[in-house]
Amino acid sequence: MEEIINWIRSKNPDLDAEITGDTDLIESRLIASVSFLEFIGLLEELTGRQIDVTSLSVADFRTIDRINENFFAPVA
Amino acid sequence: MSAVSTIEWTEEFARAVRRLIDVSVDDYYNPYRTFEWPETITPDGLWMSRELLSVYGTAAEQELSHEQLVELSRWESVNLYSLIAHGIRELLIEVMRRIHTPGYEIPTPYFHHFIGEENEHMWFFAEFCLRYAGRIYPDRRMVFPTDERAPEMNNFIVFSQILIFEQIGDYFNAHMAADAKLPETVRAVNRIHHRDESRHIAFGGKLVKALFEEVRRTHSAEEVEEVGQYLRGYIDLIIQMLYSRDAYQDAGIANPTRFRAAVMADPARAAINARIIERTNNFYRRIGLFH
Repeated sequence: MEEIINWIRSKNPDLDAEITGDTDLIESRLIASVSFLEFIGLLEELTGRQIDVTSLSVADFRTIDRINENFFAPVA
Repeated sequence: MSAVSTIEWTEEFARAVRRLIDVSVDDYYNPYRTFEWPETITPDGLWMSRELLSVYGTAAEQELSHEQLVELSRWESVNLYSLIAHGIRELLIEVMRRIHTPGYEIPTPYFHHFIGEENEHMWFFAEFCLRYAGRIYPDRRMVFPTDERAPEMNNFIVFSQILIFEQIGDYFNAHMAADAKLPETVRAVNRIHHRDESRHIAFGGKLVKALFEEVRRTHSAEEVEEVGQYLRGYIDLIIQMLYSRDAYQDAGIANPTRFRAAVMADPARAAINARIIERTNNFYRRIGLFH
């Protein structure tokens, strides 16, 4: 998850607060619709799998815990 | 929602609407009879102008054979036309939400032509993809709830997104319509789209300018600055979508994710991307949003 947190920080250089597993990434606008495509690209690179966005909703990306659960846990 | 009921549509705007309606009526065509759809598109030539390919000017381009470039041009066409089809669906939803609602009495008569023409564009681009490639690429964007803002800001953003999308698409359409090396079917869909879009872009520019005046009247300088940043992000998003992992994969390029990252990061692309968005940046500088 470190790569994801680093990416979020790179998109939000003024962010001082810690990003925890349950930080709401959407409400806090840490991930925005305009950077979403890049974020999906990062997830695909990290997981090595193509992501079908049409089968997902905003809730699937809301927190680091949800992202971990949805995209990384099944591979293990 | 009567969010724009306070908008002061100028007489110049109303005149432009009437003029555009006249041209739409005069130029009306039956798209279902306009195009010849040959069984196949020339298999050994490019489907997209070489200088419009996402790899143009990059180190990666040098590594690709002519056959690979042809294959890539085929799938990058599918990507472009799929983006256009998805973009049209989204803009039609937004225009449908506003037609014949309070505040939109002046532009509404033109909305009827706009909706009709855009529906037809969506049809012929989708038809091209389905006939010659067997598929349309899925839309990989997602709308976030935090994108919602004050109604007048929302209206400005929605119509800005439509305009930005049309201007960037038109960069490609105009170029391909004029490229005599491309197959006639490719040139024809791009030519017709470019012709209709020149009206839509003229209308969109006037509409966005009026909506921006409303935003400036009702919002602080900081909020205006923030929406400017948001639209810059949107422009960047459209550029990113032109670099399609799906297209690289379908063209048979090994490790398409890494290939995409390398192509996007190639120094040669910055100047090319700047040219693609030049018209849009100039427009927003002219109305006073970009500095």
